[in-house]
Amino acid sequence: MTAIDARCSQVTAQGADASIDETVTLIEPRHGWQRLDVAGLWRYRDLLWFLMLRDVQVRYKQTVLGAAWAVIQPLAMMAVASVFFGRLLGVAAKVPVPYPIFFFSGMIAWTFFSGAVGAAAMSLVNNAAMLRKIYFPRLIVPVAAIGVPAMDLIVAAFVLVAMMIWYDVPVTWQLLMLPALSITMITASLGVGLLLAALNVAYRDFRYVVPFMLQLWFFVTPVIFPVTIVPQQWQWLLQLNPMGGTIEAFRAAVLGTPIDYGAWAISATASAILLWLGLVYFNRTERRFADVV
Amino acid sequence: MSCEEKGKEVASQRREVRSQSNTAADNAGNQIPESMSKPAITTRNLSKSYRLGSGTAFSSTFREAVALKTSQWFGRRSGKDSKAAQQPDGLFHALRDVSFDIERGQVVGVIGHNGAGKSTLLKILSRITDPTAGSAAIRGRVASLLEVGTGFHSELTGRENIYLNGAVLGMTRAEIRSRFDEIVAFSGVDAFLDTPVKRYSSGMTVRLAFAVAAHLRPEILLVDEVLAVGDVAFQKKCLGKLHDVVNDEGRTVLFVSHNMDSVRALCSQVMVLEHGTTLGCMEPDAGIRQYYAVAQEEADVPLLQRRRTLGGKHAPVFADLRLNDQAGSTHAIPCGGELRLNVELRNMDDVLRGICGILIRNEHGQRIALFNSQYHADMIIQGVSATWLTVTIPNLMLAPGRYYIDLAMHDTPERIDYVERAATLDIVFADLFGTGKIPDSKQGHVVLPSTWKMAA
Repeated sequence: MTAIDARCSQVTAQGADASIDETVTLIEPRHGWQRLDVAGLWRYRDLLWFLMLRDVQVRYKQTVLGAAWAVIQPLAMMAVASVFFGRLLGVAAKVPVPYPIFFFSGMIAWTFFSGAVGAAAMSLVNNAAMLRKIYFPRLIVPVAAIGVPAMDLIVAAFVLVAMMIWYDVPVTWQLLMLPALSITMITASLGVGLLLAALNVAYRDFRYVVPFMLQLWFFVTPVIFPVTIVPQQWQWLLQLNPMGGTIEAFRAAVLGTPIDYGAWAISATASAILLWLGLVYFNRTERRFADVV
Repeated sequence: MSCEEKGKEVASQRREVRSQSNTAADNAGNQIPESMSKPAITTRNLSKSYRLGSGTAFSSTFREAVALKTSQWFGRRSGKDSKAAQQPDGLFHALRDVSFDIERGQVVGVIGHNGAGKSTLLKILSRITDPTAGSAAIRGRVASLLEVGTGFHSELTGRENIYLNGAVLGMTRAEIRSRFDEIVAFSGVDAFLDTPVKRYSSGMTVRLAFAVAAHLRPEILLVDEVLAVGDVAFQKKCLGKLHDVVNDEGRTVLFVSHNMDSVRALCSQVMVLEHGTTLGCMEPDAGIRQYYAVAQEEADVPLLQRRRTLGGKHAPVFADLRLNDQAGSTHAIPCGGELRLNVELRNMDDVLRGICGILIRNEHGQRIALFNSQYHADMIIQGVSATWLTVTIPNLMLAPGRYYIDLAMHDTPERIDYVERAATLDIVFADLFGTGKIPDSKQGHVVLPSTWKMAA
């Protein structure tokens, strides 16, 4: 066992004299990229669960409407968007399905993404006291931040089902794509979230950057409009947006319209690259979090 | 991206630090030995340094990062870093080449003054922060307890917090579930298990938090002064619990404390940290003697040059302290006598809401009395660069014994200076009641006058 591959991770070593297994933790300065500590993450899986549970439990304490807030916001957005974009700006005419369900299906996917990115970005700073006082794999904190938006998405999905029944949307095999689509969305939001969380630890400027960035991002993502209103030769730009092709595919899967697999693949690739970037930056900076946060 | 570059720059700076101490390390021939009898904890040349000025190895905004980058480009330091220049290498060494072995089953007390590096050592061994050089090996399942109640959420109930806190400390759900009843019984808050913790008294919160921590069953336990919490009865219970933990065969404990009594009661060995270095483990009595000897040396250094706990963010403000117009470090005052303190302040230009605190501690580090410019005199110090404060305590009714005076300056809410043991105070016997006897510091902290009558 060399010091290099055991660096600051727990490995099982055979005792030299007695033949007992024991864990050895080696602590050394770390430089550059570290191997992702999958075993460590797995050992702390219960912490991931309890952190998610904490956020979900705390979120609706002392509120009267509780989880209803998860649907009130997209529903209100839907009402306003249906009037202004659907009717007055005439977007409804360019959509093959009723505009309210067109908007709502895209909006809940977007709400998940923006909620997850926002929560992950603030997660390390919000848990600073914990970072300073105890060791655990730091990756757990931003990942756990996705719990609340995921919960909200599930609640909103029930409303979506009700709307599908109301608008008589046909049930198709495409619904089976939803788990894969969810993974793409989680990949995209974790990628951006990890990057912002790590940057936010060192540079609090990102506290202001994140809401602003998400607002801009919303308008270049096909939530209020279908991708078809963009000239054909520019549509690939929207698909480079990790949420672009994904939201279109999510909506198509729900509404039974044809899924543009090519667009989804481009967005999924962009998401994967973002996740890789996020992991690399997080990995390189996490050893300084406790000193800096 | 400029922050990436910043990261690289810091990393290269650290590499430099590392290579320097590696040279020293090679001379001493210190690879972690792969010998037959392996100690539970081994460290070799463990070092940690911070860049001075920002207090961290990082700038906190892009603007600072960019400014720093620019000034380095031109080979000059920005004004903010002028203090760093006082150190030859611009680094603050929290730990310097710390090497020791701790055998399995030992309970080692780590003692040293504020800023000696105790917390840094514990943070490195807990893997919260990386060392800048050197290495450590820990053999066995480790748990660290740097604070009671890390991760507690006030909105959650006691029950929910037990699970959350347990998970934060590294217990699995199954482990917490199996010890749940014990934890509840130990904490004594069973009636309030389903009440949010925000409705608990602070004592109850601490009891619950300690109960969770006390039921960790690691092979190696790293504990910071968590016992300095709760009421006296609960402290005793915690000490007892720690005793049990310690007496469990094979358990190794590293226990950081200021309280020499608990160190004496619990520890089989003591390690004294001074200015980031240590001589290694020794017998408790020898260690405690060394600790006090260093305190005495330290006392002869002028206040301005005295080592500060705070990472040098603000220039030291306490320049001198005189007791009853006498300079020097040790003073004798009769019990019940007048104590006049003259405190010289400097470097106060940028202080907007200065509040000065004078704290009297006893030999065990317990806080006995606090004198605070705001509480006692509604005095906020501002608009002066340098001045003298005079504080008069007409009747110092402390029981005869040894006390220490700490000085603190806050620019509310931030603490800008703290001098531990700025002076030593010996309260000596005075025949206050004409009986030839008064209680001493072993019998009570304060001596209060009283009248006595017996029914005829």
